[in-house]
Amino acid sequence: MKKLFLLLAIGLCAQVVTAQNKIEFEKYELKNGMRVILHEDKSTPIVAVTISYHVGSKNEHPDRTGFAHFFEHLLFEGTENIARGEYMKLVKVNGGVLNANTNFERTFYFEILPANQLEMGLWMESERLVHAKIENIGIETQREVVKEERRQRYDNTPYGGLLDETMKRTFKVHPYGRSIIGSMDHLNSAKREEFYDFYRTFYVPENAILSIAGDINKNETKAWIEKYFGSIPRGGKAIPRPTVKEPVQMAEVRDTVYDNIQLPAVIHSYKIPAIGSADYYALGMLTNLLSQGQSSRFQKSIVDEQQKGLFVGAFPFALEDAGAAIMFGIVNMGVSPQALENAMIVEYEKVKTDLISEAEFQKLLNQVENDFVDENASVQGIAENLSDYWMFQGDPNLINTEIERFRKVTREDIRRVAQKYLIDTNRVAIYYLPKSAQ
Amino acid sequence: MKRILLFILALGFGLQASAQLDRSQRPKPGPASEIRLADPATFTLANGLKVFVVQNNKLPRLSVSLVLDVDPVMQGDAVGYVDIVGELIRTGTKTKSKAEIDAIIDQIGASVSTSATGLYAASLSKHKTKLFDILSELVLETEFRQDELDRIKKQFTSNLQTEKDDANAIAGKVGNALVFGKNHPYGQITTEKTIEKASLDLCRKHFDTYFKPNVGYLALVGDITVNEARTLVEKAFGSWKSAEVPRHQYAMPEPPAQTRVIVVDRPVAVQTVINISHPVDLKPGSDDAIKASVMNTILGGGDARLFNNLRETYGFTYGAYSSLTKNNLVGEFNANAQVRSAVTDSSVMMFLYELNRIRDTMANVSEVDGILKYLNGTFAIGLQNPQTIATFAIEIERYKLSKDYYRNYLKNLAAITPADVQRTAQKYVLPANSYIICVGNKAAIAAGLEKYAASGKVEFYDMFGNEVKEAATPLPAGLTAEKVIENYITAVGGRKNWDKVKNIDMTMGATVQNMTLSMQMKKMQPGMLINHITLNGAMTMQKIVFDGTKGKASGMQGSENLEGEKLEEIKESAAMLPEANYLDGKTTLTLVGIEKLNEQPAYVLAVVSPSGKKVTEYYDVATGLKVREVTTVDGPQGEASQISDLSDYRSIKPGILVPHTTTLDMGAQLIKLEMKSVTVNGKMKKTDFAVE
Repeated sequence: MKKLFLLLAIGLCAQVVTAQNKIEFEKYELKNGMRVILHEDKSTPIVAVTISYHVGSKNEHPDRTGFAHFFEHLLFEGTENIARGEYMKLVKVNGGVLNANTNFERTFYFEILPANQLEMGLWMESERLVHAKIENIGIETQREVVKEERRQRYDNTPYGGLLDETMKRTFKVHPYGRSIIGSMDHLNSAKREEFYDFYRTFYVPENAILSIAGDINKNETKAWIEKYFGSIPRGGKAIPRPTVKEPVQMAEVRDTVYDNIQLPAVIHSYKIPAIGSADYYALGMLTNLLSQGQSSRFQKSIVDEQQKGLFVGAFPFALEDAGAAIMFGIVNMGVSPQALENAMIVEYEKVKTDLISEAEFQKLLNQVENDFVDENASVQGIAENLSDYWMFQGDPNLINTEIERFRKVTREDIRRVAQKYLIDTNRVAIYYLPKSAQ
Repeated sequence: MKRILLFILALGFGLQASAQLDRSQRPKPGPASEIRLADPATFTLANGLKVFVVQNNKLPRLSVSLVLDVDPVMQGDAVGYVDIVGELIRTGTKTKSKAEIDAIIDQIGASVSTSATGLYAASLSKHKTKLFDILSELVLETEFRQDELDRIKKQFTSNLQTEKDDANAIAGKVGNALVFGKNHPYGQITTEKTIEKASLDLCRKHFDTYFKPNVGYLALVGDITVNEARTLVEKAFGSWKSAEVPRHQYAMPEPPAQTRVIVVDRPVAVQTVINISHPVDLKPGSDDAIKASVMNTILGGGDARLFNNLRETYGFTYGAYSSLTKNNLVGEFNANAQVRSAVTDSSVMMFLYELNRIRDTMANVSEVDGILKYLNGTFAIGLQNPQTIATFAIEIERYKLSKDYYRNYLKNLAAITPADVQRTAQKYVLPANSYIICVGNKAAIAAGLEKYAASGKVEFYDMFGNEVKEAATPLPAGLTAEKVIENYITAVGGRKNWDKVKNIDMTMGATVQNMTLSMQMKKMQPGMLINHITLNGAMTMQKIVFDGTKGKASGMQGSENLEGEKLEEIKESAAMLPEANYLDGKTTLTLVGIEKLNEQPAYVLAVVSPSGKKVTEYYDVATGLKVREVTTVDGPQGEASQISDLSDYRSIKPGILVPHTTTLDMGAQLIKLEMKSVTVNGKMKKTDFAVE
């Protein structure tokens, strides 16, 4: 969740690596189906231990929105060998930090530890996988905590409900339309046996990627991985994944949402293909063209020159099964949402009509290159990216090679995808208005 | 041979048995690596600019940060202009417009941000020459333009507008105004009016006075050699002219003599932002600096005592933390959380419990030891970012720390004892001299917070840190809650006319998300009721039937017989004029005070009915009519205050007044119910109210 939110909050960071500094890694699979990636980097005596389970909000029952994230909270409660309340403390007193996040597709847990505590981290993650303890007291406490998280981030924050409202209207059939944090009703209804069922179904070695980066000795690390994870049996059950396809949208969806805000916002959400598809890279460059940097089209024209927007951004959400390019603007004081929307549409039309200049195209390539370098500046960033590339695109080496796919995009491709996807019938348009306007 | 085979088999089994992992055995750590700190290269330009270079070729990138050591200034009636200076620096040079500057920066995929006290820039190292060219031009050829100033002012004003619904922003502003005082630079508050006063002259003068190399520290971090750095910096900033920069001193803000409770009202809030804070005199590099940080980490750094109490034990919040900032002018202690309205009172209690506990009871050795290990570890994690080395070097220079300050940091950390923790807690955590600032729904939280104020009174502030004087309208002498109710009964037609009402049938309607919501309320003497809510004229959302003794609720979820509190509540509202029963002696009425609602003064009554239901009711001073009810309900959003505003009272035969508009604010949704029809003493029979 954190990741999606950051995207909305601080702007697009589709950041990833350059060919100049190749990231070396080793990948293999344990007998029980668990996938392992190791990246050695001895520059600082720390190590990131991460494990990503291929389960997120899209795997939830429609009556249990928020379940995957709620469950993530429960996996900090304790295990057969780690008492309740001790999990977080153990990492802390051993000089490390930990956290986790849940998105539409996966649940990601990590510890960053002093290098000499790697074995401790592996033991703890194996404990989490093999016999987490889920007790009523923990469920009831975390139920309240998660409800507070919802209030804090969604209900009591200006524009906090925006992403949920947008996804709900963009995906009417696919579970991407459901809220990751979940509804209060559903959070209230989740039961203990449901958590165990979820655990046994999705928290199995064949549904996990263990990705480790930092100051490690590979042979020793492999032996420890075998020791703590090798004996864990496969879950063996088929892992249910959504198979529904979001139907092609035939007409524009237009709606108004009221919230406790002062300045109206305009949202356009266009359906786009899934991550890694042929058009995804051109769409990434298109959204960068619109909103990355102060010379971007939205910023230069709508924010600086016309001064219609306080902020206007374009965010490509390329997910595993489908995607959405979400454009989001907040009006400047005294500007109507219609005026802002028209200005956004003018910018789409320009890209659809005129080929972008060579100079502007070179700028996009330079920005992509810069972002690739920045994204892999920390061991935790590298561990997470390797894991995500493997999980969603089947190839962790994309950490080194994906930039080539961006480089293959042409100016004509950018115009073509604008013409193909930024069309009225493919659009969800939302006016997000102050309640006082109701 | 056989024996050997058996032996080997046995050995094999034996090995397998011992390989059976005993998961209860916790791994022991390996030998710890030594943490080494390299010194950055450093040189000073002729104009006084101090430069630090941290060469790190791991990634082909470079960052440049400039920090100016200038004292903050009082901005008078134009608060905000210093922030505007920061924005303006990036928007024009003698030869380039903002659009041209933006194009140059983006063309190399770089990022550049500026403030009144420095700048930060980053790019791939292969673009370093171009990056330094534009940085040099921004700093040396600066030009502030009126059109850019106007644009920035508009943006700042719009931003202020969005903050009106941002409880954290409000808490921050009000906190600064109180903790540092409005006569201290850290306590100044930006408003639309002060933004309006920011002029080009004021901005230019500030920039010309304070943006000088002789107070600057410039750090270059990344893929660059010292020689390259020297050449680039000399070329870019060598001709930047130095000048004497004025220094300013300010009186050290004092913590309040006694703890004060401040509430900023946000009626739609579902959570309260709690900030408990006070100023501290804690300077970077002082003897207490590291010890006090350890103390704060035990109290509220990450998943610490506050987190474990308010979140992990009670589930009051998503997170509770504290911070202790070191600053040469004045630092601040702050403990904070966002909690649901209903547990605001309990959360403040737990905060104060933890703030007192760390002062009163010495932490045990193992807790302190654990935190020291944690800080040791996070120090190493921080070193992963080469920027950290540059930051250390700048701090050593700027705060005149010993050259070995950070090299000795881990050694000094290891020497800290539980006694140090307790002593610094007693010095820097002052629960009896704090501002407890709560931004939330006043109606739901204020009364419960009074006990934490030394004065016994909650003070109310607006979002700009000004006290809201409630006492401006004192209650008339001799007025009682009962009289307010009597006045209300008279205002809506009097008992006599209401006694003539044998039955009433009211239908109200609203449009919610393009759907029509309809609510029919029927009442019949003595105390029977039907309340029927339908959607789009057909689907029943909820139907409540009460025959005077038994009640039943049905809806999409099925039906249930009403019992206990719920039944009592329905019974109370089934009365033709429920308020008339408030005077039956079983209802607790408290006249709380006078408040303004939409500029009109209203008497505030706290009502606890026999069923235990608590409602805060507002009666207009001028008309005597009820204008608002605030109830705490368990809705789909969890516990929330539901506000019903009553207006458009119209007279109905036989001379009674009925509100024709009811606006429900459920926190997340506003529903405006309009009266569609009212019939008094129409056809209605007792069997209509039968409960099977």
